[in-house]
Amino acid sequence: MAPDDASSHWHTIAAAALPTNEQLEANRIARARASGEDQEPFFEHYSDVETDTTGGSVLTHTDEKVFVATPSGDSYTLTLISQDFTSAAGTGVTNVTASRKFAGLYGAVGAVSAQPFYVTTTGNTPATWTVVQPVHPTGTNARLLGASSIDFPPVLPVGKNPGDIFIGAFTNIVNDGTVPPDDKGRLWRTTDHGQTWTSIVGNDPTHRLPNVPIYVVKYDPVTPTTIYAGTDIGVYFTTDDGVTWNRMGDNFPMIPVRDLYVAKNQEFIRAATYGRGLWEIYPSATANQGSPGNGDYDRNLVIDWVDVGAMSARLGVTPAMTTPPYYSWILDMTPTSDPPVAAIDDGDLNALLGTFGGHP
Amino acid sequence: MKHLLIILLACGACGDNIKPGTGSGSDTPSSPLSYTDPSGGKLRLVRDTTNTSTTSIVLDLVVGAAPLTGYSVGFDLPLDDTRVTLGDFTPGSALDPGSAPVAAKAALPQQGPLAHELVTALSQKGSGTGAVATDTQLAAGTKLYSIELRLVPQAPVGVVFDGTASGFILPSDGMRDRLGNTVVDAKDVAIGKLAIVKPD
Repeated sequence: MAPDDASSHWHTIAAAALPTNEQLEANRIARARASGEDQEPFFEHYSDVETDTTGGSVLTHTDEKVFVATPSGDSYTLTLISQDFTSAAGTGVTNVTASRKFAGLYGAVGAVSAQPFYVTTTGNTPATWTVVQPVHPTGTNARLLGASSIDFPPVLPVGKNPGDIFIGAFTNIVNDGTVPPDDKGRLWRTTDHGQTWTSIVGNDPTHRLPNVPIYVVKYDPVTPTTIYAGTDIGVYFTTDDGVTWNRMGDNFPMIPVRDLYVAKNQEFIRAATYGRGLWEIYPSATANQGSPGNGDYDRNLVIDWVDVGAMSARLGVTPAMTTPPYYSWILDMTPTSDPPVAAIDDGDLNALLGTFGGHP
Repeated sequence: MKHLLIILLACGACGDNIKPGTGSGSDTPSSPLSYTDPSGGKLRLVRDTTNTSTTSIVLDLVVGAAPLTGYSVGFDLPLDDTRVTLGDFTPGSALDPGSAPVAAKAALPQQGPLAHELVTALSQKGSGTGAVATDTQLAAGTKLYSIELRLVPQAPVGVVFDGTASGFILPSDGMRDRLGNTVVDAKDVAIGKLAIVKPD
C-alpha cells in the first residue's frame, strides 16, 4: 500500500475502531469457554515469514514453544519447531521474529535474563534452538532483565552467516537492582551469534537512544545501518548503525510503542502504541527534495519487470496526486529542471530501462 | 575423395557439439533447439510455432486458459547462456507499451545481480505516447510478447532451462495491475523445458 499523503508527520489510523486489550481478552475467553477450548494453548504473538515465497506462513508461540503455521486449504497447519522452553524452571518465550531476508532464520525472546534470546537457522524443521548468552551492562555478572524484541539485519558483512548478527532490546533494569548506565542502555547487538554483546545506543549524549524501556527493535528491510526502536516515549531511529539516534517525525505523543512494522519498500512505518492506537508515517515522502531515486521500487536491489511496471504506471504522477498510484520518490530518477521538479516522466523511464537487468 | 566428403558432412552433427543449421537434410530441417510447452498456468511461456529456424527459437508469453485483467507483466528466468543468446524481443499490442520510450525490454545480463537470467518486462504507460491508463482485459491465449533465443554455435547438448522440473518456481515473475496488486504470481506462471538436442 502506498501512503495516502506525503509528509513526515505521524498520523493515527483506525484508532477509534480498535478494541481495548481488556475487550480482546474478554472476547477470547468467552469464545474459548463457549467452544470448550479453554485448555487450548494461547498464541501470544505472530511474525510473518516473508521468506516463504509461496506465501502465508506465520511464526507464532505460546509461553512454552514456537510453532509455524502454514496454509492448508482454508485453515492452517501448526508445526512445533522448537524445544519446550519451560523445561528449565522459570524460563519460557515471550516473542518471536522471522528474518525478512534469510530463509529459516528465526529468533525468540526468552522470559528470563539468563536466556534472553533463542535462535534457529533451521527454519520450519523442528530443532533445538540455540540459547543466547545474557547481556551484562555493568561489566559484572549482573544481567540485564526484560528482553523484549530481537531482529536480524537484511544483509550481512562478508564472512558472516545468518544468525551471527542480531539486535536485542530490553525493557527492564539489571538484576542487581541498578539501572543500566546511560551509555549502555537497553539496546544491544551481537556479531558472534549471541556469545558477546555490544551496546548500540550511541556515545553522543545529545543524540543517544534514551535509557528507557525498549519494547521493539526493527532493522530497515533494505538498509542495515538504519534501525528503528519503539521505546517507552515514542519511536527513535538511527541511520548510521547506532552511532547517533533521533526521535522520528513529529506529532507523535510521548507514549510506549509496543510494536513496529516497516514496509518492505520503506514507504511507511506503522507503530502500535499502548493506549493510543495505531500510527503511521511515510519516511521517504520528503526525500525527493534533491535526492534522485534509483528506480528500485520494490527495494530488492535489482531492476526488473516490477520496477518497470511501477514506473510506467506512474508516468505523469507528481506528489500532488491524490489518487493511486501515488508518487514515489525512488522512481524519480532524473530531475528535469533546477531546482528539480518532482514528477515521474519519460526521462525516468529511459533511465530505468538503461539499468534494466542490473543493479539500481 | 567425394566419398570422404559425404562422410564428413554426414558427421557434421555427430558428438555433443551442435552446429547451427545442420539439419537432417529433409525439406523441413529439424532444429537442435527443443522446447516442451508447459501445462496449465495463468501465464504460459509457449513455443511460437510460426518460427521454423534451425538456429533460433521464439517463445511467446501468453495468457492461460482463463482471461486476465492487468497492467504489467514480466519474469526473471535463470538459464544456461552458454547454449543460447538473446535475439529479438517483440512486445505484443494486447498490453500496449506505447512508444518514446517503449515500456518493454528484455535482457540477458552476463554480470550483476541478474547475471545469466533472461529478464523481461512489459507495461502499459500511465501517460505519454501510447498511454493506456487503465488495466486491460486479456482474453485466454492472448500473446503478450515474444522472445527469440539464438543457438550458440557449437553449443553442447543439454538443458537450457527446465520449468517443468519438480519444485521449479521462478524467482520473480507474474502480472500486476496498475496499482501494483498481484494478478498472477510466480507459482502460476508455467515455463516449459528448453534443451539442445541432437537434430534428427
